[in-house]
Amino acid sequence: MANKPLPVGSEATGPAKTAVAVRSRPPAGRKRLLRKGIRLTWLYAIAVGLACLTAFPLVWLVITIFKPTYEIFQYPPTLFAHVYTLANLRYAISATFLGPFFNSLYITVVTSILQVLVNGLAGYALAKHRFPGRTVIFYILLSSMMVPFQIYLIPDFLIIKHLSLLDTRTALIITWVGSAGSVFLIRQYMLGLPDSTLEAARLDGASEWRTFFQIVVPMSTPVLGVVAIFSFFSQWNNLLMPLILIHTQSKYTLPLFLVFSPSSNPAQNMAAAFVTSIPPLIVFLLLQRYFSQGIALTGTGEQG
Amino acid sequence: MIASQRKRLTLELGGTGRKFSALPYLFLLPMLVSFFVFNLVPVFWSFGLSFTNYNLISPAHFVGLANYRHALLQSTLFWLAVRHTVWFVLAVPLGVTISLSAAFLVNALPWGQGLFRFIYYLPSALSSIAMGVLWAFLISFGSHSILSQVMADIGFPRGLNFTGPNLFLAFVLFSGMLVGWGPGMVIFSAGLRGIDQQIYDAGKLDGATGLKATWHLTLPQLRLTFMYVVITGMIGAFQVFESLFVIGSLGTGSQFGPLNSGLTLVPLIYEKAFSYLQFGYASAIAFVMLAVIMVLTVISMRLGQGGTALGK
Repeated sequence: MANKPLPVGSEATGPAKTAVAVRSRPPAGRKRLLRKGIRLTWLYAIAVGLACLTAFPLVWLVITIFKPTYEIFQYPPTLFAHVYTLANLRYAISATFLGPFFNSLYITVVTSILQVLVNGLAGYALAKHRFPGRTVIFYILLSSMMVPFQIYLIPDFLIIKHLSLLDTRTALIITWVGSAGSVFLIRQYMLGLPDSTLEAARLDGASEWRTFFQIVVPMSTPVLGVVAIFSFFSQWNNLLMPLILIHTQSKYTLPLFLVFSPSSNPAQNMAAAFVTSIPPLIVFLLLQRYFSQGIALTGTGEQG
Repeated sequence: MIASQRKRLTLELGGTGRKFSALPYLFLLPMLVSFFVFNLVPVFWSFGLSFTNYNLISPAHFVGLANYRHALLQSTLFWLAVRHTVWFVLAVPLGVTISLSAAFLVNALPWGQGLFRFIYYLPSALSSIAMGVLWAFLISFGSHSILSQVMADIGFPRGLNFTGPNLFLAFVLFSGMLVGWGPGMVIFSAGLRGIDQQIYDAGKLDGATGLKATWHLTLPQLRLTFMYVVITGMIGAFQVFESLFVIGSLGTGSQFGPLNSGLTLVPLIYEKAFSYLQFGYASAIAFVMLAVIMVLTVISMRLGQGGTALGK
């Protein structure tokens, strides 16, 4: 599938500057070259082996969805189907599947936009404004990052129930918008924006809102991109919140649908799983640049 | 119009000449409201609940430390969940070692580094739920599953049943480890590229080359990164839920596997709260978990910049 090099980081294609590279001294003859060749062969053999391992789930999914049901159970599993069929893929564009798909898409896209906006504004205020209470607010947010979100689970359920928002898509969005982690990241990044530029904008008569949207946001795309990606991933794969907040089948998100309304035909479930993987994959491919920055910023690629 | 709004929001602070602006508070407001309602209040509410017998139907009664006592001293299920969780936590250093080794490997490649890094990261970019569907398919039908046959063909005993109580947990653990080392690899890979080359030149003068250089020069440089990845990984391992739930429900037909074989702490909290409506008891378990995670997070915050940033 991925047959052209798509560097995960912009510096990814740079020369190998590891301890191993240190070992290679200037070439001293044919024997040396041969030894180097053997070493490289080994390295690439292991690298390809590992690549097979990690590409396996996606490859298996893709292979399976074009097979007729009887063939997916065949042993030994066939790499290429004897008969190709689009029946399974047709299930993934049926109303049964598209309902949850668009529920998930709606919730995830709205959450991501709101996350960027709401946490972006908060991060900007904490980074570039001085006001009473700033330090206190910052430290409260910082210490809340220690709390695993499972702690909120029961009270969030009770609060949503009191707000009469149980079983609504709004409930899934509003419980996922404010994120202390995102505010922290954005603040750290915006601290580095030059005050002189912001000051110049203000002197030119730009309002604070215009300064934010026309100067701060464009200068902060890396960190805002990271927040958008991570909120997209975490909401797209969010299982626990819909599990406790949603009960009507017509409001199921994809994770709920995949677990609670599986088709009796496993090949169709695999097709559904494959299509479920496409949006995060697209986001990953489009925003890869931000992704590697995100790993550098947060020190983690996990989406919790 | 906007300018006039700004004036309205700005008022003089008595005589000092300093302007007090309400604008930063306005910027913070949406975030703080959401944070207050769904994060801050819940922590205290949950803590309060953990001392009650609240069950959603009848009013809450204060029961003191009874929930904590029950969990820590009487419940075998709680300790079963702890034992299962500990397996996931203990597996983290092993997974991180795979990440580190893969980073060494990738950074030693003269070409194709980006491509390999991309492929190694791929499973983490796919939907974790979708991966669960695939794993569940591979182990469904018990000892006749596709995986059982593959394992038999490569020399393992015939008829291994990954949906049974003995192997379910191990399967979820290993399937996650098998493809989950990509993010760690990317972090180490960046760490390796960031090492100052001068230390190797200096090391060479002292006779440190090859493996010696790796052991004495490279690894100490990565020590903090390693600790950081291990601890954030452990925090994640404490919260394991999705994979057990998806593979359990679809592969074995029972949530979290047969006979509680895949019951860890978060699944226990979920079950006690939302199947048995024991909100007080579930909150107590959650706070026991919080205590352990907080210790780990404090360590990770000292090591890295962000702790569980975005760990929502």
